[in-house]
Amino acid sequence: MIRDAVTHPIPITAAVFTSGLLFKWARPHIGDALVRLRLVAPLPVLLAVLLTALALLSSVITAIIASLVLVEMIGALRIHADDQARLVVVACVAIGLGAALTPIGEPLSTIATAKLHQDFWFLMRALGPWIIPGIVVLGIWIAVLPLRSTGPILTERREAETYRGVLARAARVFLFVMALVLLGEGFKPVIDRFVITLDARWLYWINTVSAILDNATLTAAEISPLMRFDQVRAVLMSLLISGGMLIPGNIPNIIAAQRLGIHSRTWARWGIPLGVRLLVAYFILLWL
Amino acid sequence: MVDFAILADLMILLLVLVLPLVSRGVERNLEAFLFVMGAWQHGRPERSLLR
Repeated sequence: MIRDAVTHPIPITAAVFTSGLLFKWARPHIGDALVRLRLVAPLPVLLAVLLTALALLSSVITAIIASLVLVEMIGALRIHADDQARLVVVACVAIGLGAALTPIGEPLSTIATAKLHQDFWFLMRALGPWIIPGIVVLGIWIAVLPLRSTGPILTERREAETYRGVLARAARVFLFVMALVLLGEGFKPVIDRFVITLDARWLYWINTVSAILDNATLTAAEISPLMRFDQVRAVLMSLLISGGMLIPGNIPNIIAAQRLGIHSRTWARWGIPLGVRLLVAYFILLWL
Repeated sequence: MVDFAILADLMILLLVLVLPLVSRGVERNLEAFLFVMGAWQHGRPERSLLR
């Protein structure tokens, strides 16, 4: 057990560290590149393509680094303050979904893969056919959002990236995932007694509680290798979608909201309607 | 005794889910808090009855 707790966090920690270094080195050039791209492509098309790509890439560079890149992009494109929050909410939902495709994308996917004793591509096989079209739809949604590219911007606190910061972020992720592996193992008796017997459709709606609770912690508390495939899919899809509805639900939301100064009420104003629509749409697609 | 262990697990689950929402200190040190809770959960003597 101790060996699992120490070894399971290593891949995501390495991904956060490596991507963090790449982000630190590339950061000064991101803004310039975006300003040049802005000259050759219309803003809706540019945003749709970039954010869809970022969401898919988040399964490799991790949701944490993807959300830092998102903040950098939002700052460089100077979108109107009222529109920024709406754009960030949609983008964070897309990043949260995309990061779940591999075990190194976010703590939720690391824990789910570890608890189910599955291989690296399991989540891609299990959730990819549902998640990838969802990300594309969100990209198109972004393209049709009425965004204004001038005016005041939200107060982005441009914190300098340091090597110590990169290392500390990776260390925190290691400790976080290690703690969740330990907790997840400890919750086995509770899961076996209360969760496994529930119908997948019930699990889907019960897990909307992930809007206010961290979805990786809920994954540690719920997922079991004794679950049927439809139960696992229901839990993960619900956690991923609901996680985008409010700020505490997922890591990208917390990072983006903190850096751009987005308040909880503003996030909820855009996040809840989007989350409810996605939950209903996926419920229909999965079960009806 | 087994039921007590389950009850204790549920209590820990409740603390793990709720404390980060209500305590700024826990929220700021979430990783350390979760690690302590995980280690505590594993160290509880009645857990041996559940294995």
